[in-house]
Amino acid sequence: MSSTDRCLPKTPSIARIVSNQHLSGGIYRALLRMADDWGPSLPGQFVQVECPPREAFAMWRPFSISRFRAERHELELVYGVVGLRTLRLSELTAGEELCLIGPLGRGFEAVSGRRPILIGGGRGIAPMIGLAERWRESLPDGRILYGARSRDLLIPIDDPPYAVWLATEDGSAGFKGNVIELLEAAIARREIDPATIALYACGPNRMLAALSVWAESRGVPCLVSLETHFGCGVGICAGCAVPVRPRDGEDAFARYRFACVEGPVMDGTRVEWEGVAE
Amino acid sequence: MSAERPPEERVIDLGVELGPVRLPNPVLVASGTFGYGNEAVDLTRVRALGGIVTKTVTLEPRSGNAAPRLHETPSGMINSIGLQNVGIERFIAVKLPELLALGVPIIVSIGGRRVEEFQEVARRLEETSGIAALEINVSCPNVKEGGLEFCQNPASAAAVIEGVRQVTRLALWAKLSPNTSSIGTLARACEEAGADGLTAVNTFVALAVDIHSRAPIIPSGTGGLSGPAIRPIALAKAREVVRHTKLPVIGVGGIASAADALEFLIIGARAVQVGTASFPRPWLAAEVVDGIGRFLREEGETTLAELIGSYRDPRA
Ligand SMILES: Cc1cc2nc3c(=O)[nH]c(=O)nc-3n(C[C@H](O)[C@H](O)[C@H](O)COP(=O)(O)OP(=O)(O)OC[C@H]3O[C@@H](n4cnc5c(N)ncnc54)[C@H](O)[C@@H]3O)c2cc1C
Ligand SMILES: Cc1cc2nc3c(=O)[nH]c(=O)nc-3n(C[C@H](O)[C@H](O)[C@H](O)COP(=O)(O)O)c2cc1C
Ligand code: FES
Repeated sequence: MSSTDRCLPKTPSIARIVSNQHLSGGIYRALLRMADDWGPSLPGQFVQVECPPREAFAMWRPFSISRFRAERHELELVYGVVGLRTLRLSELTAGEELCLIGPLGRGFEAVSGRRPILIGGGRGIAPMIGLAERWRESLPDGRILYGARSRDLLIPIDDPPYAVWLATEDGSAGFKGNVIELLEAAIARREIDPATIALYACGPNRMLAALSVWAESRGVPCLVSLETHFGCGVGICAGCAVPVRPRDGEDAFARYRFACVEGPVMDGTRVEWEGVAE
Repeated sequence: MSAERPPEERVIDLGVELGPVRLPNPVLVASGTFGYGNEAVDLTRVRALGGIVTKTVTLEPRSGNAAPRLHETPSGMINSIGLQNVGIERFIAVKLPELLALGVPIIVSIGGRRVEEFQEVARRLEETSGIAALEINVSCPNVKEGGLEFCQNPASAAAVIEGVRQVTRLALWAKLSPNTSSIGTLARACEEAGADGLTAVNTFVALAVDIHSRAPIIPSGTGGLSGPAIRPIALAKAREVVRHTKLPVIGVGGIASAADALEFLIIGARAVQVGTASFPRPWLAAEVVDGIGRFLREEGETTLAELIGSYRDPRA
């Protein structure tokens, strides 16, 4: 590729809302109709969205791609209402339009020779379902572990590509406890062999941290999609930095990785979780 | 009908001279807000830019500050990146060749804790070729040692410029901090120390508090405020610099449209830099270039020179 080719602008895309539906407990699913040439994308990649209200300056918000149906040009985002922008996003109705950039960042790629165990916490389950759909043919023996605080916060999963094992903290549905305890119970029952699995996870940073520590102690590969505060999503602000343990020979600069371009999917066992905001 | 072309077709030369530095147009991207310049090539017409100012590079690689490093505020943001950078060695070996291949003027921003460190970085860059200028960051609010001292004290800022002047023939721009009682005095000190241009301004020291934990949102405490929120104050500071020196001034602070950039040019800035506004719209600086051209055509001005400094100063 010549440098002139690289100067072609990758313009922002216009997405038209097909539906914007409340799922449960402040979590919504937006279905967006993209231009015919949009994509392809990998689950775990993200889009930077210009959320309403439109202003001369406002940071765009990152959202994981939970699913992209190429044949229908439909992009699915699952998001929780936490502040002004996500609230305004939830008020949009079918036919309205959004500006976004993407797909961006590194998505989930399979660790070869390992049985995939997909772990979703809260709204983090959404990209895991998208991932399972992608892998159901090539890696049919996968499992989904889905953790939530309680039954009323569960997001309905229709036609799950892998068997779903559920854990709620209050025991109101499925296993009582967190996803790590669920994982250990499955190992104790010999339903999962830690020597043959790889973990792929999306959820609160707290969960990803605990899972990564567990995975490292068991020598299990563990890829996590983590969230930091993004200023740009495209590698130009240095705001999204995640501290990692440098390997031998790496300098101080390598201590921080940019989650937007070197992630958001990263090797959880190398992340210094104390330095990642919750 | 006359043979004159309709105004929308008239070609206007946006080229501009800043002392020894010639730029194809007056719109650059600001240090630390465009990566090293090559990250955003897919997202904008890089070739349309008047120049790229790189992320500040220091002698040794730096890891930068803890997260969160950014916090959005009304029409702006507070940052505390802390000069995370690859260090001069890797910059010259890897980043610089990629940057120079982009075909736009490259201004390398340099930083340090001590005068000797600035000098060493400048010396290494002096050995390379193709750089349009050095921008000396004597104003970063986010590094504990050095930065603050340099920015608040005209004498130490001048010492840095003087020190760097001794080791390089490259054009030197001093990047001024607004966090000082008199930016005019600071500007003059840098002029006397041998600067060829003055970049005004860096970010404003700012604070945001988490009302639940009662702790600052940025772990290091204060950070630097940027974005449209600072534009009117930055403009006033840039004007003060223009009034106090004869050097070309590069205006920066909150520019998010061609109209914003025009304000800086009208008060006498010879060029401008787009910073934070590139974060949501990496293509914005290129649009500002187009917008300036359009404005000049509409106003019937044939050169940028007619516009620069056309401010009707009530004090004059
Ligand atoms: C790579 C990536 C993927 C993401 N994917 C999703 C997703 O699929 N679904 C979803 O609901 N959210 C996702 N997020 C988080 C989402 O971007 C934030 O919740 C959103 O920006 C909040 O905007 P707001 O204006 O509503 O809230 P604000 O008013 O900006 O903030 C509300 C609260 O959220 C915190 N916050 C703000 N930005 C972030 C952030 N980037 N990460 C974590 N906390 C933040 C603030 O500190 C504050 O406490 C993702 C974030 C990243 C970095
Ligand atoms: C995230 C971020 C990083 C920055 N890093 C640098 C830097 O490394 N060196 C420097 O001289 N200025 C740095 N700046 C300051 C900008 O170059 C600019 O002076 C300032 O942000 C004001 O302009 P703006 O409002 O257009 O962003 C940084 C600003 C931001 C927001
Ligand atoms: S979010 Fe800006 S560099 Fe990653």
